[in-house]
Amino acid sequence: MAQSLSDRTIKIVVPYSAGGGNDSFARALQKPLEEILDTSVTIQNIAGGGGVVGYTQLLAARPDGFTVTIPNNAIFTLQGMGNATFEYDDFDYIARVTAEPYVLTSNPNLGWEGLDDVAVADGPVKIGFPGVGSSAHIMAVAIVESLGVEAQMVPYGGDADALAAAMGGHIDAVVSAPIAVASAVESGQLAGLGTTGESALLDGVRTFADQGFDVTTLQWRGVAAPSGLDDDIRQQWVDALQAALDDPDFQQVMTNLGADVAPLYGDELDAFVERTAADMVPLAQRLRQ
Amino acid sequence: MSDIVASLGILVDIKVLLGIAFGTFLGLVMGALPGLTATMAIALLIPLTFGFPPEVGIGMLLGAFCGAVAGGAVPAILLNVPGTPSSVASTLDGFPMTRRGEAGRALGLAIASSFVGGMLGALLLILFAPPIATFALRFGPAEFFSLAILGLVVIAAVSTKSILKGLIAGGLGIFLSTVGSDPITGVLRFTMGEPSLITGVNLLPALIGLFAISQVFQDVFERIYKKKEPLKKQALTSARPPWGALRRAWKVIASSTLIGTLVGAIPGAGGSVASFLSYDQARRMSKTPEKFGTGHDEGLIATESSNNAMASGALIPMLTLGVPGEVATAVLMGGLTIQGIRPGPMLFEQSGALIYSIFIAFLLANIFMFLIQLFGIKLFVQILRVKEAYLMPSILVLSLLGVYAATGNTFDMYLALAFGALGFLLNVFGFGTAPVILGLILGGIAESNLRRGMTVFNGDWTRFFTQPISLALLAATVLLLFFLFRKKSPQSYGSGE
Amino acid sequence: MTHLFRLLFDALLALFLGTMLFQANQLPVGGGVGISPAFFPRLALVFGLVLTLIVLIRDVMLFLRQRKASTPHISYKAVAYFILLMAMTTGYVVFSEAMGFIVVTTLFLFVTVAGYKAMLVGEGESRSVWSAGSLLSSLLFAGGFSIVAYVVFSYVFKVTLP
Repeated sequence: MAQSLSDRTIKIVVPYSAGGGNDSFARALQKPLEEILDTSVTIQNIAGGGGVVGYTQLLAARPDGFTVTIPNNAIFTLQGMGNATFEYDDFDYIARVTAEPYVLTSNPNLGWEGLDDVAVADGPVKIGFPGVGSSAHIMAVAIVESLGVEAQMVPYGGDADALAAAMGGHIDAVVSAPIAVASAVESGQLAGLGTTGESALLDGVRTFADQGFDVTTLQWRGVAAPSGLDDDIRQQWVDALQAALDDPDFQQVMTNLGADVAPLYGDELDAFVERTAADMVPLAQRLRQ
Repeated sequence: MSDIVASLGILVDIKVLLGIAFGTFLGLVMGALPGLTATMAIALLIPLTFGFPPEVGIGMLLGAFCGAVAGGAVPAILLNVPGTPSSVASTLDGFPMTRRGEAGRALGLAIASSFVGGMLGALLLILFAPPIATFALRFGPAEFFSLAILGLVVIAAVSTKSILKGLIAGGLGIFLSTVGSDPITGVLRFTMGEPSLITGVNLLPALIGLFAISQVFQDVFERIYKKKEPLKKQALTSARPPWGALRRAWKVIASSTLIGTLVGAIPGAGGSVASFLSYDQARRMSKTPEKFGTGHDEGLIATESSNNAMASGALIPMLTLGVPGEVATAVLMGGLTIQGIRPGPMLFEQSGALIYSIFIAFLLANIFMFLIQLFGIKLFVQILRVKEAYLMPSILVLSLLGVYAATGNTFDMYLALAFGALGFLLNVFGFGTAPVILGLILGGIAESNLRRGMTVFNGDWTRFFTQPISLALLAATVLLLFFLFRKKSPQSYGSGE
Repeated sequence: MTHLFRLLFDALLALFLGTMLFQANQLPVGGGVGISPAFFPRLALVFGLVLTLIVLIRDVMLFLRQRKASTPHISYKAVAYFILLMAMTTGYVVFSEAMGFIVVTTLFLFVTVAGYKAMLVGEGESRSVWSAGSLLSSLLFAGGFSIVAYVVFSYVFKVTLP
């Protein structure tokens, strides 16, 4: 007798405090999933170590599909930085739900309009990002290498500090998420130079690929379980998620959060995970010195 | 102008008014519970707002922010347990008043000061948001470093009777701020293999431990050791805002509001420091500085008016730049984003009506906060009548619960307990706990900005002295040090009990 | 406060800071521009350690001077209560994960409230702490508080408790 996801309460472990983007994502999924699966879905926030504690606790759960988490690029960077005891293939990835690019913006007084302007700038270019060892940090390194410019990496504590420093001209450019800079770019407080992929929020900013630079890594969110998930349960999850994504409230929250719903499942998802891991893990390992 | 009229229309909507009132009420309750901070209040309300129309949701969140910042003062005054980090300074003069049997008056003073500070701060926000935001953007590594150093010297100024011991506690706090992943290189420091420490010592468990849990230990201890004298009977007739005292202290209110708004507006400056800076400033302006710390009106007025002005200040960079001023506002911004509002410069340019309704909602939240608390004072004071046998264990459980609710990480509960024991010992032996928390907040700001500055300035340390704001802050620091050591020499080291 | 305990605390604090200083010296001295990761912790620790040693020496002198005047009476009872409460609270955290929030919280509150009442005997609290009535009110309070807290946190705040 195969198990059904409707049999028991489902627990989504969010490895961050309540109130952040990952938490909102999980809570937006909660209601549609409850309706579709006809069971209760609880959200458990387990914050600590930038995600290490929550992910580690998830991996201690049985891979029965009733305990899942919200994966994102932090899994790769935590592994690469050596801060976690897990590796990215300890997870069974069920779905990618949303994707958003990283965006490079600069202080408008520098007059930069695109990536070529940065590439030919007199170095060192001061590039800020939120959090040492964060995925934005890894992306900053990848961007600098791709541009081939001499750069000084300036870590900040969070998005707010890094963006304020770029607006105030204390640093030249900053790597962040589209939602954090969309308003500032639109009003000209920051100049949008390039995104690592399409973003509905920043349609005036060209992608790295368009400008001839090969940086295409995306930030993403989805659903994952500890590895060893039964195929039948996985399929039930995929079906439920596909239905949940049609929920208008969920779509509204995702639009407001600036995350593009870009679902991937199965082999396509595996390929995406492998590619992203190959982009991030080695770079993170190098940062470790 | 039509924007203003349009926004007024939204706010005669009874649902919006109820939303603001409800949010303010919940914020007050959560702020007053030891363990639930303003950040938590907003984070916990966000899922609740999912089902409401945006105007109602926004009103609720703004109300919760405003209420939580003010509510933190209630347990600070009544029980010596600050409800949020920004009300730590309010224990300095608030609790001694309760000990004197003036809890009602102290609450009245705090409520009125919060209200006046909040309204003045909101006016500064409405009238001068863009220039203040521009000023805040001038803060680079040098300015942050100097501000943190000034704050650290204030530790010595406001700390316990013994400067020496206060400095030790401050040093301990600074050391604790260096635990975890190094902010510049990512090297792990002092984590001893504990993954929860990678991101450093969390502020909330430290705060709860040092102030709430330690207070429970201390109460038990005093009971056994020297038969604690019972609290004086509370004079409830005076449980209303003493406006006269407020009017006499208008200078204190003016300086505290300004300090609160400005420090709140600087992203990454650690808003909770504002109340300490205001307290110190008020003491230096005062004719009776020696009365500070003994239950002096001016001290409580300074910290509470500064607190709620800080809340307005923190909204300034969020609304004008899309950059939150401190942690609670960061979560608030997330909540607004989910409501479909993207705080930032475009909001000012495109949706004037929305901006004005946010302003008006914030003013209303301040008014509701005042009214709810005004009617609540007599109820709050009843807490003191609850038998300690019930009260103290409840505080212990609520504190641990608050820590768990914030992170869901059991390690943080142990951490809070350890800080509880540490805080108890520090208090008993006269070191004090406020310097530890200030060191923990400011140590990180000082270190990361010093090192960031050395990177950005290409190793040229003179830049810390040549930037005008930085130089002014450092000059203020030197003056303060001079003032401090001239007035009370280190020989004043005594039993420090 | 007894001077002996004061000395003990000063010494422990110095020992802790010293140990951490030793650990700080193991930190890698980062290359490149700027200040190494070890610089700031060392600064704070040396600062704290030196001041703590000064305090320790002063306290020792104070202790030696006052020894004849007043024999320090040490309240072992206070220390015992402190350790007991600490152990109970630690136990509370340990067991609440394993056995569920409501049960463990009720138990913990019951024991602490009853214990507190026992401690307050002779200070306004009636002597009949162990009477059925008093125990019942403690139990009712403990159970009620736990259930209300559980409901509020789970359903209003949507926090998942163990």
